[in-house]
Amino acid sequence: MVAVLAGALAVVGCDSQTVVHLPKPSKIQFRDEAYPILLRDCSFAACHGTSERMFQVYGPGRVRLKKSEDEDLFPLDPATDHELEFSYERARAMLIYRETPDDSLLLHKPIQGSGHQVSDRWGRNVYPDAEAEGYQALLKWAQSAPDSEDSPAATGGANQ
Amino acid sequence: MKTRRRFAPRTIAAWTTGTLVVAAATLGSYSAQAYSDLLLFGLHPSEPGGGGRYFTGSIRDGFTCEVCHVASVESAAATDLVEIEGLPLEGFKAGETYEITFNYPSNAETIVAVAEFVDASGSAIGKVEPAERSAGTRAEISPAEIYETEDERTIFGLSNFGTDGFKATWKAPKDAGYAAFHAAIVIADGSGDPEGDRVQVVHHELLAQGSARQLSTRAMAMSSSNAQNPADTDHFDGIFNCSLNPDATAPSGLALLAGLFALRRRRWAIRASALLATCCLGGCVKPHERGRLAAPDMAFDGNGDLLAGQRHGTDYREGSSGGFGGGGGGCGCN
Repeated sequence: MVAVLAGALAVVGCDSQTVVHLPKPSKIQFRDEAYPILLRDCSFAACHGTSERMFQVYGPGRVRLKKSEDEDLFPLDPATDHELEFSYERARAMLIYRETPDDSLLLHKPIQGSGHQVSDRWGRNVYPDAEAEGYQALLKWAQSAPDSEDSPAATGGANQ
Repeated sequence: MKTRRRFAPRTIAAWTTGTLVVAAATLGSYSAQAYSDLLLFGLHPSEPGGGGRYFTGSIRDGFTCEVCHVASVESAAATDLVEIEGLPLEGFKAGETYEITFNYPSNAETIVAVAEFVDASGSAIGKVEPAERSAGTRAEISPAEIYETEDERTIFGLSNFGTDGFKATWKAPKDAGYAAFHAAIVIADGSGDPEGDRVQVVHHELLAQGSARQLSTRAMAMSSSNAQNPADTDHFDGIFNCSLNPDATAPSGLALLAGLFALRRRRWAIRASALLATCCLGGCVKPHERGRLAAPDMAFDGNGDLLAGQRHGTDYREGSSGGFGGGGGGCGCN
């Protein structure tokens, strides 16, 4: 029995059909529309502005990544390329889904009624429903097409 | 045909490894500092600002400063907390002006406070204005800073660290019986990051003098403390004057009734409904009513011996549906 199970696991593990590809929505749209929303609603120090969470967002007015090992950013300095790139990578990793894009953690967890560790003092989640303005901005970005090869964001820093 | 995607073990392993590498690379390489000016909370994050979020914990934005500043005030001594004076906790008079003073603890250096008065929908209620310093009070008390937001909130507070507190006036509304006061105060440790900063959250429900809602005594009791749970502020308790709690009983009662009616035993469902209603309203039965309710003719089943034959027939006729302990296949055979 154990051998059969091990064999089945090996077959599943070697199945080339099961490789998950990371979504690659627009970096430019992320910088302009999704990133401010994530900063506003998610990147608090006790929430997703910490390395203790898989999903992390860093930026102005919230938790900052260090400019260098010995140099801190001021709270209101503009977002650095590193912060934007890091936040983008983490956010798009949260867009991986099993069946439909709505299943992705980024689009599922902040909605009222879903399992989200944090709720406000009135028991509410981040967004009351999918019609919320902030949620719509995230959804729009999640559905956006990748940037073209010659766009500034695609060739390097998103903050250009 | 839609292919169901699965996460292969090697993909998960790769992701986990990548996550650990990145986490290790960023661990300890970030810093956080609070806004130094209340006005910054209102700016768009790209400017950058707080995106219009003032974390007072009101119904409009229920999150408080605790989303960043994580230390608890539970273990703090009263002398280490901000004292708020002048709130009309015993009920406000319509149109009257109250002077609200935030007294900072003497040993604190860095304090930021935001507060607001709101109605049940979260919009500003009454009129808040900065109060001038007056002779005979602490000289270092500052007038409050006040911001009117686009979504009809009026936020007042102070981010000036070199003061003993601040003062504002609140003119109570003339035509409203209810207002809520919310405040969130960060008592920072001066380290520059939110790690050790305490957050004091204050929530008071204020009732107009003479209004029906002032029947509530519990809300008044709540007003004297730093309430953390809004559910504890049910100001209708006094009006019902009994132990009925609609919020607590309604969902479970409805679910039970739905289940009973699903049994297709209408008579039992009606009996159970009556029993349930009696239980829910039990707190309203006066002592002198109990004798009448205990009389034999008030029993749901009446005389059990007289009903035994009828019940026997019911068991055999409808026994197949189950749930009542009778035997038989429901064919009607007696």
